[in-house]
Amino acid sequence: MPRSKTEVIAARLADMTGLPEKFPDFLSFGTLFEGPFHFTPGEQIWGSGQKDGYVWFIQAGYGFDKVDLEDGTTMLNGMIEPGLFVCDEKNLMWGKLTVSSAKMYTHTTAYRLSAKNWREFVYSHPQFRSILYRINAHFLQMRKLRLIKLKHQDKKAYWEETKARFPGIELYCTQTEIASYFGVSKSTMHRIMK
Amino acid sequence: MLIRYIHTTRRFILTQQPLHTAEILNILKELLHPDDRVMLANASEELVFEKISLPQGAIESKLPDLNNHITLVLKGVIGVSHRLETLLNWSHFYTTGDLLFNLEIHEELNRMETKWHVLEDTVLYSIDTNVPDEHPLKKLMVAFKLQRSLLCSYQYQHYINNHGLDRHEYSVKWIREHSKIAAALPRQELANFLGISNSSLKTFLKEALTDA
Repeated sequence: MPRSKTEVIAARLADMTGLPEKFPDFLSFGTLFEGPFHFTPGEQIWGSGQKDGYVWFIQAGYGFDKVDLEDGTTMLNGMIEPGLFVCDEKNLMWGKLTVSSAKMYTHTTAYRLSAKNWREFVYSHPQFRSILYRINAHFLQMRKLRLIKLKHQDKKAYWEETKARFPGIELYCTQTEIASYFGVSKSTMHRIMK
Repeated sequence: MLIRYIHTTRRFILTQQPLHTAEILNILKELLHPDDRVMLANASEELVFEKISLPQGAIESKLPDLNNHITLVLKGVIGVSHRLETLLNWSHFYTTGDLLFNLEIHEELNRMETKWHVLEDTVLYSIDTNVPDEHPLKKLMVAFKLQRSLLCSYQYQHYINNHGLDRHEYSVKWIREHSKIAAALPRQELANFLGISNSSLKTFLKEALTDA
């Protein structure tokens, strides 16, 4: 039986936290999302330089998110998969123009919650806030690992691992964007990818 | 400045506003979402700061005193190291004016043996965001706590992004701006931190020092 938007989002939060799907805050949170929004391959969910920011929940679809760097280049940041909550963090934290973009390479179904509504919800729901703190604390540990792997894991092995996880990555991201993701120059990346 | 002893030899509640209040308040203001900054403007006089001193050479692998705190470096340098298999690596250095949070060395989650190394005598100012619901600053403290949680992981995104920048340009700039830290680190550790080879480091150091 098809599940409603609220149920899908609550189920994902339950999966992430081990709490029941009927946990009231999860249901209230899910209700706030708008959608579904559908995207075709090659379409952007959001782009860089946008004022309005959203927390997106990806129900189905795969893509990549990229961040703008200080030197004006773009870096591949990560892969978007079903079940992820994604957003432009700078916009979420400080209401600034987005400095990232998200492009999907398969048909995608997603829901969104404005950054303003997200913040209001978090402020008014202390239990949800505590859960969010726990999730962020784990996310921090994942980023620590990503940073050290970026610097020290054997780049050839890291590329093989990434390619196996995201087949066709080189079709959707430029070699420069991929090189930034691996922390190497474009020429080194070219050698690794051969 | 009057200070009140709490429970350790290193931690005090300040009974007067700390020095450089304007700078400190500005850092706190920048941490908050713009919609929440008015709360700080209305309450800045009521903030209670704790002062924490860390002596040079100290290594902290947990600092529960800072749980739920907003903390900033008034002076000094703290380097952050992690372990991946046998490799010890620096990821960043906190200096004057930086916000730092102990979540990265939280004992329950810290699987990469992340540690704070106090490289110079360091003074931290800290605000406890855990206040009772009826506390007049409750809303402000909730806003601080949320930003703290988000910034903890976002700061690592910033370090990751730095590695997407041109290594040569970034390394020379970093060495110039942090010459004291660069001089204090063994060459191999500095090269690992910048994500470059030893021979590149030699060239970049020469370039940074020549131009300086």
